[in-house]
Amino acid sequence: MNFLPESMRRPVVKTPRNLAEWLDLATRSLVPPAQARIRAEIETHYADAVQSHLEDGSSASAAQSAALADLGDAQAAAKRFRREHLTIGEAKAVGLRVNAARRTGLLFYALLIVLLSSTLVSLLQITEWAFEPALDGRFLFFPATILMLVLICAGLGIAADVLARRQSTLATTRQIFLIWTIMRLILQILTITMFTAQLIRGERFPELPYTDLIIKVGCGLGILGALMFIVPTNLADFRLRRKLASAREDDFPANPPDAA
Amino acid sequence: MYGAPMNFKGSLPTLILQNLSRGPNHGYRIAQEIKQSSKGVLDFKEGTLYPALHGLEAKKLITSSVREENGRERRHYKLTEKGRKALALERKEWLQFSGAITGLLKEAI
Repeated sequence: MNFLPESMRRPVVKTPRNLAEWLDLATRSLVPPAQARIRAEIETHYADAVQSHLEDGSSASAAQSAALADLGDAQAAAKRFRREHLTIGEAKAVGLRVNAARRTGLLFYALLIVLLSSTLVSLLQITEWAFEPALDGRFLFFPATILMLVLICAGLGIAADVLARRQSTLATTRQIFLIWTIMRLILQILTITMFTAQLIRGERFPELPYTDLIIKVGCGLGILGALMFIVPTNLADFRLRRKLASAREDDFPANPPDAA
Repeated sequence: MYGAPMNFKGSLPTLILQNLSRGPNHGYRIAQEIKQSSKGVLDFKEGTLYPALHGLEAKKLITSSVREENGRERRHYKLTEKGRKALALERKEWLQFSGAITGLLKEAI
């Protein structure tokens, strides 16, 4: 069974021989509303260009070839269109998050953050630090900070859940996407903080058969792994959020493709 | 290379804004007017015009609407107030830049 959309199932044409092939190549990875808009505009443009070449005395086939050549490289145009419009992949990523929020996925996310925070707090033995000043160089581990993050996440989780139950519009999608990004960032910060805290505090599990070195190496690898995941995913999210912010209502599919 | 049309990829958005400062226009006519007003010196592939137009629209420098013209539906673009300000800034910067280059090149003669 082929799950690819119709436009992506056709074989890739490297050198378009006519307008239909040029448009296929230039728009194949874009969401259907963007494809429709570009097709309509370029079809009119092409018709005008053919007409102009015919008036200059070209034959019908020469006029069509010249108008196609005037459009230039379809792959270069495709690259530029991908920068300006949502691609099918990006719409799926957004749809996945909106649908997850609709299924109270963000509340689950918030619970996960609470769970991680609790683990962090117990790991750091908050009783030791509970009354230490916040700005003694370890303010990130200070319980008030953790509590604040938990409250923010719970609030954001509820807000996203309420938003997701409303009718899906571009504005709602943008809000849910922003909330999702913030919550994931907090979760990522907490994960790194946990590993860093363990690395700084050293051996905390005397009952386990791990040496101090193994724990330190494990935490170091954990931080490295988390950073390798965090940096590219957040960069991709940043680009997608920028695109969503400038997207037009008619550019966005009414029901984003559900990746679930 | 000399005498051949110049590649001006980065300046296309500014030239589009300049064209639209004279009034609303559609893609094909914008392309033809830019080529004609530069007497063929500035040439570009017309397929790259539309990503540039859509980019300007995303930045809210221009707006678009579909109108019927000679029985054909056409998307017309119009400069916004933000676009007008951006064009004034771009024009000022370009004149400063080109003035400096012209000055240097004249000095070399």
